[in-house]
Amino acid sequence: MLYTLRVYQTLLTRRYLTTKIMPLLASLGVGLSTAMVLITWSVMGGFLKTLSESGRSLIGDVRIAWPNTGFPHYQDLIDRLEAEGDIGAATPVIDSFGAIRLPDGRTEGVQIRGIDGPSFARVTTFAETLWWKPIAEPLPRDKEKMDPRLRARTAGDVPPTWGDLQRNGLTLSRPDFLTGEPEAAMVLGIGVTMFNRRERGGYYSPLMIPEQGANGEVTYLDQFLPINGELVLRVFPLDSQGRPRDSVARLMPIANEFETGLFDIDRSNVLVRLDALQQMLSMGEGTRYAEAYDPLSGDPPPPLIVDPARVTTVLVRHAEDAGDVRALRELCKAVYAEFADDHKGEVPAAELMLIETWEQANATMIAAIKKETMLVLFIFTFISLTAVFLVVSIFWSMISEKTRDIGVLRAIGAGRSGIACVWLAYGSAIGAIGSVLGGVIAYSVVSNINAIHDWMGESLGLYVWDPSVYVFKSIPDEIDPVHAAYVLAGGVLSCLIGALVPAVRAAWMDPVRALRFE
Amino acid sequence: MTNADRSNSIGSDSTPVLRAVDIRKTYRMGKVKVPVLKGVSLDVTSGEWLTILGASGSGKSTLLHLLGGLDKPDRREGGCIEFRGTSLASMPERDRNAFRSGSVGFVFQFYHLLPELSVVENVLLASRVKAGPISSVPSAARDRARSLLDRFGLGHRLKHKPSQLSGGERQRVAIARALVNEPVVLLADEPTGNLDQKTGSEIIGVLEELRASMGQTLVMVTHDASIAARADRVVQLVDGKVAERAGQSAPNGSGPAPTEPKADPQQALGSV
Ligand SMILES: Nc1ncnc2c1ncn2[C@@H]1O[C@H](COP(=O)(O)OP(=O)(O)OP(=O)(O)O)[C@@H](O)[C@H]1O
Ligand SMILES: [Mg+2]
Repeated sequence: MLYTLRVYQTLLTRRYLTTKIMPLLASLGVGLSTAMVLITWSVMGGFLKTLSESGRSLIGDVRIAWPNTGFPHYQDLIDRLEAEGDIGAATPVIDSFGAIRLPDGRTEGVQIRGIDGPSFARVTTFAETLWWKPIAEPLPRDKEKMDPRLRARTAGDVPPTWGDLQRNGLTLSRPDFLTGEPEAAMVLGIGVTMFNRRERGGYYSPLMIPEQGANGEVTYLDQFLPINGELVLRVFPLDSQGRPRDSVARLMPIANEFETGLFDIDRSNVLVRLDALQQMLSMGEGTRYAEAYDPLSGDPPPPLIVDPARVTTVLVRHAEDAGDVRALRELCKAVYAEFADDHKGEVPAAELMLIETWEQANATMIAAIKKETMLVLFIFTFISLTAVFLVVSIFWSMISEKTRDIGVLRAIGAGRSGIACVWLAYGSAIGAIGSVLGGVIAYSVVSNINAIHDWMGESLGLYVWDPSVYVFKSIPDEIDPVHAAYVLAGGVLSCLIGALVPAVRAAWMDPVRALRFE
Repeated sequence: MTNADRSNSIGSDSTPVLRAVDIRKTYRMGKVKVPVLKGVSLDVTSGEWLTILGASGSGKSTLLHLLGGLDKPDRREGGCIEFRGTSLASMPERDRNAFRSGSVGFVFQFYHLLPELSVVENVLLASRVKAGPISSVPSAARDRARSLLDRFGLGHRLKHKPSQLSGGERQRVAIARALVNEPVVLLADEPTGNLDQKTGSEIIGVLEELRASMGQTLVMVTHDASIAARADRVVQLVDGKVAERAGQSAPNGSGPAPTEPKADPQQALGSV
């Protein structure tokens, strides 16, 4: 039978709560513990979520890759993939590495991705990550509305609009100064050049670009890379056996910059138009003679062979946003197997091909953050056990103090279970008050965590959060309601458990001894 | 219910409300056994005022707790306590709780009011415990609490906390609490023990008045012979056994107990 709370328990619980300072302290302790766990979970969970979302948005759902030398006939593979109903889009990509030389003389090693803008935007969130584009609403944290993108135009002689820059970014091209013809261009991670200063409002202010003159003097040019910047891109082509050849360099204009929120990627990734990169890496379509031939020999030339263009990777996106990526991977495997059958000898065998989901591709990072979250959560939950002991000890001493009351209650007819209920109700009440308090504290801290951190940095010089150490540019500031529900329920439960032992002690107290208690 | 009842209670053929038969209670302290009650037999008849007189440590409180079902006699050969013919030991715990809640009312030497509750809440606490899992105290109980407190001169102090009351006032609140559920027997353990003579006398007056107006059955424990003298019947606890007041021959007190309200207090004290 369910034990209904009797009237006297409610009355006593209320009175014990309102006339003692101890329960308030206990509630506060419980509140702080709950808040601590919830804040940790929210922040770490937020990292994991950001990471997952970014990982997925950067590589789509499934990646089919043959690194280094790449594979040909990729357009055929893409056509076959896109013919499947479950596949929303597929796009060719070259993953490589290289270096860029910045106007101030620095050379930075970078990850280079050759992409086909429009189809890449269909598979990934490329279009959203493009930074320099017109926006109508200021960012949530940009209270002063200082984001330059809110202004209709940029500075410059014949200023292109933000919309122009956005178009340039999507097609990875920029009109030539003189001819107006679109040229292949790069889209840089927003942190690659370090010319963008991240403001507290969450937006970037492009710095004036320093240029080192021949005499070693540094002058600052009022330049904005996506309008008139050009950088030297150097890549390292491989021959068909995967051996490095001489590096190839090319001066390339900047079309735009992107921000994924993943610090590492924004710091080191450079997107280049696929055909331009293919050309630089000698992965484009080419023709050659079937055997060595000396044109001066006068012999008839041997037949020509066409080497089709190659890419290292094809990225695939599910037709549905929350589609099953594992099933998609199996589908990709099947499609690839058929494709490999039809191009035997030219493309890698299906068994050798790297076909993995975005989770697998980011496994080490995701696993690391997951483990870290679990570890921190475990430690903090353990610390929160102090809250339980707090309740146990407070209750223990309160019950000692209330021993005679317990005797009296028994003398006027209260049963053991009734006495236990007084303390359990009391414990739950402390837990409930504490948990709600903790929820409020956690909510106010988490939703202002970046502001708090900025404030700590500015007024105390305390920067706990270093975006170059952590992967993310800002601290996640959302509380998952499900997590909150778990933690708050946990708070109440801990108090109930904490009250249990003292309640049992009270229930089994000998009433006669309790009455004799001085 | 006055004369007829009282003569009834004195009469040997009336069934007692509470009856203790050959009660033994032994405390154990480690290996040492401390026998406190060594075969106490006692009848409490309806409407009577019985006083248990005894020296400090003679086991008066122990006996009262046993009578009120708050404690149990020795498991082996501990005798038994009957309420209206039913053995308390044979009752399930729930019934014993109900017995404490509805059939007896305890008054203690140190009042034992709950400091967090107001005067009226302290009184109504007993009603609340008795009311069980319902959401409010019956209005009859509220009325009774109020009228009891009125009667004890505390009608204007309902909202006061025990700490704001004098000892005598607190004890009156405690008596009201013991009476609010209309118990068959009121068990008072040295209700004046913590009060000065005058206030103590007033409390006894309150009890006397209760008995006169409502015929309340009363078992009172005291070591004060002058207070004992005001009772209908006095039994004395000596060496773990009941000795009927001087002049009474029945050694176990289970026989008819002719009342001698004006027993000599000095003598009683002397025999302690
Ligand atoms: N829990 C216990 N353990 C051991 N001995 C006990 C215990 N409770 C009571 N006693 C002993 O039992 C004896 C009787 O105690 P009790 O309180 O009944 O005496 P009393 O007559 O009420 O005394 P007083 O007039 O001082 O209240 C005492 O000697 C006491 O030391
Ligand atoms: Mg006593």
